[in-house]
Amino acid sequence: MLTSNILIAASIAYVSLLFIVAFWAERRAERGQLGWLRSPLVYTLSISVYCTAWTFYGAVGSAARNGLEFVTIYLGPTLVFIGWWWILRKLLRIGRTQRITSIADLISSRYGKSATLGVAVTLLAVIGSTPYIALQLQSITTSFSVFSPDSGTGASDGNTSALWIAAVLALFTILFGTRNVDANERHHGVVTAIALEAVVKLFALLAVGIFVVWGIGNGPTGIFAHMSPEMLHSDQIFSPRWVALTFLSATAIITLPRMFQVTIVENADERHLSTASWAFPAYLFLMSLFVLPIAIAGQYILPPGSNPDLFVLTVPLAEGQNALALFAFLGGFSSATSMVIIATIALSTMVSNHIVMPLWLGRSKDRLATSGDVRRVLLLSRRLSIAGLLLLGYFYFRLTGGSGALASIGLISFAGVAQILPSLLGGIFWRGATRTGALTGLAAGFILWAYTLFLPSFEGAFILSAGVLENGLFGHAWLRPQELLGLTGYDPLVHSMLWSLSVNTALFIGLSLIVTPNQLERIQGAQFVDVFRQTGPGGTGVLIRRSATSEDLFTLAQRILGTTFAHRLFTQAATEQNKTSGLPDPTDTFIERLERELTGSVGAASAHAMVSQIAGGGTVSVEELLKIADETAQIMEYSQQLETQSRELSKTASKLRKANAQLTELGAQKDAFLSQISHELRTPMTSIRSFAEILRDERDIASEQAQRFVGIINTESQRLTRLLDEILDLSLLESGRINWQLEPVSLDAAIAHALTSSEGVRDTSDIKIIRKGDKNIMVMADFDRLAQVFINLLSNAIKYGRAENPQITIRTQKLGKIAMIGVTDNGAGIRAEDREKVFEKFSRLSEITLAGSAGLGLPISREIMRNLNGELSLEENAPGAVFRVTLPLV
Amino acid sequence: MTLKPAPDLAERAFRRRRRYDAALILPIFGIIMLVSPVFGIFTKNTLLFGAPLPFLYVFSVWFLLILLARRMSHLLSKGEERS
Repeated sequence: MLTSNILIAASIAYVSLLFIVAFWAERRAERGQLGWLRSPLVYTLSISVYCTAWTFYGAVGSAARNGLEFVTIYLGPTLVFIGWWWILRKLLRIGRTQRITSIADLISSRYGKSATLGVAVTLLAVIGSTPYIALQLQSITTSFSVFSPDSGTGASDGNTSALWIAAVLALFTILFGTRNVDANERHHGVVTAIALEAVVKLFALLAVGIFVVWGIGNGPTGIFAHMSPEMLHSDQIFSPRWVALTFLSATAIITLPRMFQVTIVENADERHLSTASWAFPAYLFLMSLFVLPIAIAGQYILPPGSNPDLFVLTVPLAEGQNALALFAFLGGFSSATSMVIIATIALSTMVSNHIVMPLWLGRSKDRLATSGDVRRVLLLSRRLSIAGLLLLGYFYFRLTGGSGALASIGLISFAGVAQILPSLLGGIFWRGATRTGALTGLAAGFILWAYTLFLPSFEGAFILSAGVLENGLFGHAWLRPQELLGLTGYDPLVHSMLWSLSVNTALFIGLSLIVTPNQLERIQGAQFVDVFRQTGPGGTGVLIRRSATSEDLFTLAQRILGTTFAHRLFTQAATEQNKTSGLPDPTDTFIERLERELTGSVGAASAHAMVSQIAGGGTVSVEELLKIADETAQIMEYSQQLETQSRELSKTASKLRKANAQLTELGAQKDAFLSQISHELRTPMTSIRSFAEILRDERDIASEQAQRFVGIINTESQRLTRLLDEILDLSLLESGRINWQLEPVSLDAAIAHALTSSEGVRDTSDIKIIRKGDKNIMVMADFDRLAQVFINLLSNAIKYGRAENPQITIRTQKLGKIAMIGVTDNGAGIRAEDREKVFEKFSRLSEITLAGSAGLGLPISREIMRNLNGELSLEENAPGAVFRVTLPLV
Repeated sequence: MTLKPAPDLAERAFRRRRRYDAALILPIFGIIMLVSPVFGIFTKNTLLFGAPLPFLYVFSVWFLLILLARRMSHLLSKGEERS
């Protein structure tokens, strides 16, 4: 027979083992030798903290009473985990990027780092979890009592052992759960111990199950043969309750604080979730596989009226399998302790970050920047919270212990924390969700849950009297807690869920649609909803107006993160800012990063409050808002880029069109040029050929006549040669292949040279040359080319400036830094519309003025002047043609 | 024996997309099988291979879901590493 002493000894040995394992794991973690401690397996096993004593013992009890219904508690989590791609993956990513420390932190952070929401969720979680902790304590004491049914001391014994258990658990949790304030730092010791407990409870239940199926029932068929036909309630299995329970357990796996702690906060690697997505359902599958057989065996072996919640223990005991019973006891013990440990860690983080820290901050506003070690305050508040929560659980157990109220507390607790679901899902999938909506929905849901489910569970012993339960508040029948507004015909749980969750969701959505969120909420909303679209670590958090001094920030960081870490963080930031020594500048990026680091320790709201207090303000400027990579901004930026690109494209296209037009024009000009050249060449050629033919054919031609013809042929061939020379010269000039030798040149010398060269032309006509202006001008030019220009101008003036008394005026003068030369004749001048055409190749002005000209002189001159950095232009008639040449002085 | 040519970028993106879709569909499949009137079909008070039909149904669907989830998880993590 197992005595209490053996049980106590076994429990103490087991707890010692847990301490040793946790201690060993912490040591390994400190030395950085994590190895398999950071594996997907350990992660999956730690998630199994979901299976508490309530499921370990209670599932069999539920199976005995309600058949297959117990499965729903495992099916919900299974569905959530195999659907990890939907929700858990996103939560995990958000948890990691935003350094979320708890479910309260998640909600508070999402809705603009709202301290109020943090407090609300924390209170809800504490109220929902305390009975659950009490339930674990109760299950341990009850399982103790199974082994010593006749000891007689009963209740007081149970109370003492519950107190002892609570104390040991508090010690364990404080030792391994509050080593560091950074809740993001994984509690390797705790997680490893929890994983070990997960293995123990699984094997304990499997051992009992295998014993039942093959030891008692001769295989599966044998055990099912003992099943009473009504047990499964086959016809009523699929009911609203079935759906509601599955939904509730699915919700619980996401919203229970302890589940959030192990799944999101303690997660070391996102890929572990991928493994857990099938491994955790497999764990649940194994946990529930033998539940029904054990329940069947219990009903079959044990006398009627035995407590089915204890079949896991009493069946092996009744069969004389003491060792197995002890193992089962340790399994139940594991389930209970692991839940309590993780739940208190999660809740203490929430309490200290969302209730204690804000209070402390409010009380010591002035001291924040100057004194006190925030770390100590935090750790102390966490340790006290752990002790307080366990004490609360213990008192709850003392007050209600023994009353049947605890039995259903598991589901009631689930329904309580399920109120977080609308704000949570809305928060991560809907940008429009607002703080007001979340807070109101949560509060209404909480009140309805308390009124329709939680308080009635005390059966009139707490706040709501039996009378109220029976007749409704103030005697109004429509306010009956379990038949609100006359909604009858539903199970109390389904009834409460219908009311609380639908009102919660409706208010949440409705108010979110009405109330305008503030900027911080919008930013956080974008951060959460588009978490997969955020790239890199930059540009995530809240940007704060810079009025902080680095010293203040360092003091703050030092006191929360510890000197070493703060030092490392600041040095690193300084290096990134390319500062070799001293503190980094309080840039937006740096402040943002610091806030994120602090968030990992004290939660978003507190970190925000602290940093804002020092950094001043907390407002976000428009430019900063624009920087945030939210969807609209990204789209806008993208479309702007597109617009710019298309603008550039159309610009390029128009340039190309212009170039094409120019090319076409050039092509046309070239054709015109060619035909012009042919024409110009053809004229002298024709006369040469005609006179040559005359000389050949006419035998009797007078000698002087022949002489005259030969003279014409000679002149025309000279003209032809000159024309060809000019064409060559022009093409050479235009191709830019000439090396210009610019040197100081006397302007007067160039003009004199030109006058001399044109003497031959002048002799035939009686032209008067008038020279005016400054004669000592030196210009930068190429002498020969400059002279060529003047020769051209002079011969033009001589040829076309036909008048009664032809005269040509050459005027030179200095004008600032340039020399200006005017060549004027007293002829008919050039018509205004022809003035630009004279510079075109072979332009044909009126046949009279330019007849016989190759028309290349002026284009060549202009080209030369361009190359001499000067200019050749045609002025208005005065009254004859006025050509003006400008040149830079030396 | 010829090596299959590596699928091009568009094809890979398409396959990855399809894996994501499958991952989203799996829980819906689970819900239809276990939490919808489909389940009602199998809640008959009969024995199959000596075990009650609802029991067999729930646990075999559950097992199937685990197998599919395992397959999915491999496919998805493989896809993550590649991309």
